[in-house]
Amino acid sequence: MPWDTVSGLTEADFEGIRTLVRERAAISLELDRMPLVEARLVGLARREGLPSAKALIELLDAEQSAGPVARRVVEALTTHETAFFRDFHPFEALRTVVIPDLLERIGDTRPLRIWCGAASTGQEPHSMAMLLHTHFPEVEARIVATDVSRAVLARCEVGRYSSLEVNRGLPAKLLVRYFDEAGLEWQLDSDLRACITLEPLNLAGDWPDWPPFDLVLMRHVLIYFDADTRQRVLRRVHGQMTPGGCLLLGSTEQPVGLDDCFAEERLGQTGWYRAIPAEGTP
Amino acid sequence: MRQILDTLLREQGAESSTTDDLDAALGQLRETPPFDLLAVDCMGPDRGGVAWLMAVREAAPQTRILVVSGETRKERIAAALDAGADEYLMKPFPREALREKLLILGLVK
Repeated sequence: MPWDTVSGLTEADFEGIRTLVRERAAISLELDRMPLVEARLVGLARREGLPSAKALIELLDAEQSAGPVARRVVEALTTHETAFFRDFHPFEALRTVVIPDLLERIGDTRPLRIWCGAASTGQEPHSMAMLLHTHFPEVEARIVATDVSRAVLARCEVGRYSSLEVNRGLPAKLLVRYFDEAGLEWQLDSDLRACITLEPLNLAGDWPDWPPFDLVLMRHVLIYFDADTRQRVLRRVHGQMTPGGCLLLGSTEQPVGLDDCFAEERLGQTGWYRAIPAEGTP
Repeated sequence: MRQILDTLLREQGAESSTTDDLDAALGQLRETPPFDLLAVDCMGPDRGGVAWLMAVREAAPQTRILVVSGETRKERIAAALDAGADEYLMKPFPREALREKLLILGLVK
């Protein structure tokens, strides 16, 4: 592709960024992502009070080891579009089939445990919290929300969204029921936010010692990994699930090469993957 | 806004008719076969507001009502929903937001 950037970034700069993001987040940035990378770096430079994206790269190069600038660059490049109840139909499947099934399996022995593996600014875990509160008010649930970016998790914790953000996928009845006006923004009810535990997590790095999850949402994040990393992460996800637990991926994502771990189930447009018990598991 | 909504709805495969006259719209809703969707800005000053929405709800109980408005106060959004609106979209909005509202209303897949 022709190398022509308005920001003055060179091919060598882009290669450096690609290496950084691959090493830190195991995410492969293809060359055709260059315009997006450029736009994100220009935006980050502006937020950091720097005169240009080139100045940001110079600051990055000056860091002796991967420091705060590198972390913010990785975060800026790994934050993806999100919306409340994204795609809508998966949440209908969760409400009507998946969650009732999981509740039947665990009985009233313990809380339902859910992991949102790419929480971004919180729309997905917050959608899950609203869904549970609206349709399963008696159910005790624990939601763990993780993301590689500390900056987006900080936003998730506060639960404040612009009008543009609450316009995206959030039914107006839920907006009125669960959000309060906060200046020009809207803030999610504190009780709903309290049932969510936030943790920064690089899916390709070390994971904390969690109890197994009944439901894992890992949507629209694995597409950024190369095939080997994707398979490795999903195998670890399987090991982090209860036998018979359910995994939801993005609509175009599949657990390729993991037939020993997951069995697909469907309802209409929504597919999910049931964790097959590992050998020797009762 | 009427023209933009018309274009966006046609992009989603809808047949659409438009008017800037709320009384005429109410008359049309009473007289023609049911519309699947009414997208309307009725919450601004000097618009029909809650009373008009209640009249629409009565005249066209099967029609889904999507209010599209620059009115963003919670109490006014709640009032629109109480009066019979099925959904509410605050202006300005990206085109994806309209599609997501149609998904919520079960009008697209």
